Parts: sequence; C-alpha cells; structure tokens
Amino acid sequence: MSFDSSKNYSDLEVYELVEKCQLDDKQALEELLRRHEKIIYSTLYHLDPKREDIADLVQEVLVKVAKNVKKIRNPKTFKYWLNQIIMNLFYDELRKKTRKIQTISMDTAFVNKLEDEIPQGFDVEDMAKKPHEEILGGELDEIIKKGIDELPEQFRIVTVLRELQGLSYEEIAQLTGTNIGTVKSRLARARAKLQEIIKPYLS
Amino acid sequence: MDNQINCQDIEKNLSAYIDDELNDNDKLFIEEHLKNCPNCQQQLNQLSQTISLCKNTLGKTTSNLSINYKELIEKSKICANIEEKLSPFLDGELSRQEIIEVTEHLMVCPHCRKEFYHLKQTCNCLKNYFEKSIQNAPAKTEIKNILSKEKYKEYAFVSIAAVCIFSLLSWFSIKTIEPQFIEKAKENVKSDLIYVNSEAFVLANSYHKSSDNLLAVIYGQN
Repeated sequence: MSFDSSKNYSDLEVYELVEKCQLDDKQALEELLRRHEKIIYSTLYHLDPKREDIADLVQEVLVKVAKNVKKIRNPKTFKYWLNQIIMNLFYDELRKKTRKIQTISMDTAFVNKLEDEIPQGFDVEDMAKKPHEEILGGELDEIIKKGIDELPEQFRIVTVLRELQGLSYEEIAQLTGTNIGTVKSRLARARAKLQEIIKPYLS
Repeated sequence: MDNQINCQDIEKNLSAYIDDELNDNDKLFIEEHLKNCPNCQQQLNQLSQTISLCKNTLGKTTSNLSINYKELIEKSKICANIEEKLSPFLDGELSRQEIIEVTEHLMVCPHCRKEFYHLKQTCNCLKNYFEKSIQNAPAKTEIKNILSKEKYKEYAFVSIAAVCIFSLLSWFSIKTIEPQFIEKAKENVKSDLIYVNSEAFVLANSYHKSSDNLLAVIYGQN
C-alpha cells in the first residue's frame, strides 16, 4: 500500500484511479476527471456538432462522474460507464432540443410575418469557426470532420463510439439500444461513406 | 459490258438485299437480275452462308460470355458478402469461422484485398483525426471547483442531517422533560403561583433566588 501511494497519480491506470476514488482519494478523483475531460469534450462535440455549449455539458458529465464514481461495481468497466453517462446526457439534451423546436408557436411566426420577414425565434448560425475548430487545421481533417457531421445521426453515434471511444460492438449495442447486427451494418455503412469522401485524398 | 456493270451494282447491294433493307424497286430489280445471272446467284449464296456462319459463331461467343457473367455474378455475390464482413473483421468482431472465411477469401481475391486496404486506410485516417481532436480539445473545466462543490455538498448533507437529528431530539426532550420541570417548579414555587413554566424553574435555579423573588422577576414587580 505504501508503495502504491508513493506512485505518481499520472502513471496509474484508469481502473487503479477508480479504485482509489472509491476509497475517497480526492487526488485520484482529480486526476481521473482531468484525464477524461478532453475525450468527453471531443465525444460530445462530434455527437452533436451544431451545439455551442459543449463546455457546460462536459462539466455536467464530470460532476456526475465525481458524484457517482463510488457506485461503479467493476472499476475496469469505467470507460463503458462513462459513455453511459455521456449517451444519457446526449439523449436527454436531444429530447430537450426537440421539445424546444415544438414550442415555437404558430402565433409568433404569424406576428413576425406581419412585422418583418425574419422570425425572431430562430438563431442564426454563427459561421465563424469555433475556437476548437481553428486548432484542428489541415485539409484532410476538415474533410473528415465535414463527412462525420453530415452522416445520419445513428451512423455518427456508432462511428464516434467505435473510432473515438474504442468501445466494443456489444457495448455500443447496449448504449444505443440496438443489437450487434445493427451496429455492425451501421458501422460498415458509415465507414463506406467516409471512405468515399476520404478516398481522393489517399495515395 | 452492260451486264458486267449490272452485276457489280447488284453485288454491292446483295448484303442489303439479304438484310431486307432495300426499297421495293431495287428489290425487284435484283430479283429479276438473279433469275438470269448464275454468277450473282452464287455470290448471293456465298454471302448468305458467310453471314449465317458469322451469326452462329457470334451467338456461341455471346453464350460463352453469358456463362462468364454468371460466374462473375456468383463471384461478386461472394465478394459482396465478404465486403460486408471487412469492417467487423478489422475490429476483430467476427466469429472464428467467419475470420477464417474472410482470411481465405482475401488470400485469393485481389479485389477484396484492395477494398480491405482502403478500409484500413480510412479507419486509420479516422483514428488519427479523432486523436488529434482529443488532443486539441479545450480543457477549461474548473475541476477543483467540481471537487470543492462535491465537498460542500457533503458538508451540506451532513449539516442538514445534524439539524434534523437535533430538532428531533429537542422535540423529544421537550415532550418528556418539560412536564417534569413543571411539576418540580410547582413544588418549589409557592402555592399561590398558579402557573409556572419550565423557564421559570430554570431561572429560579440558575439565579438562586427564592420563589418570591422569582414571582417578581416573572411579573416585573419589585
């Protein structure tokens, strides 16, 4: 135990950190959150490319991790557990969004038409690059990003969970509420679509 | 001489005549000529034989071709089946049997090998892209804040629990202890004091005053 505690936290495996977190080790929890912050950001960013407040969502996920880390039964399944939180949040936000769209009432549209042509309830998309995008330079990267953004949502989810998070087909099936066969075919089709886009840039 | 010219004209048109592509006048003219000209009749025979021969051999080659097509279609079916499995094959998500099937096919089929190579390249590109995107993702969350919030919440929880327990206890103690206080107070205080509550008793004990003085304290008399 004494040897363990002298070990640097950044050298620890994720499951070791989780085990320490479960013993109320605040330093381990900090390292755990810090280590996963970026991957959470990137995941959410690719799941919902049009979203602006991803930093807030990241914070929400991190808070949930901090709160519930003691409830993980098997520390080695942390990645799957983390993605459960991410996907739940993503689906919740998605539902909120569709609800919001539904509440744009017919009256406002009618009034706006009378007053002027631009309906006030709609946000105009900011065409300027987000700071995160500016760093991601490179022509091929831009092409890939655009390709991923344009994938149908189901395909995009599967691609992100596999290529970014590296989850197994079974885990993806559980997270998306489908079966392995569906995951297999969705992933194959998503890759085929992306391949078409990437092909001209390959040697 | 006249006949010769005629025969040359006819020969030129024989092919079209066999194909029935002449107008009625020319057709009649040729038929008339053929009746009287054995030379041209021979020409016609030879030509029609050649044409039918050609047709035969062409027909055979096309039927040969159609067999190739069938094979091709069969092959492409197998390839399509394998191509579907390339993506899970790359991820190691196939059964043993399927892995063997795909590997064997890849060894013999250059087309699928190429497909697999392209798929691998695509996936590598995606992986690189996502790795870069993770590296470049902003890390602005105030993790210390989250941790301190967690602490604060814990404290809040503990303090709320403490307040609950305290109030419960005090309620309980008032319920059970107050009547005893009142009894004792009544004993200590003179009988003309009709009512005295526990506070009076506490005051009396703490200030060590007689119950007469106590009355004065309670009613503000000197």
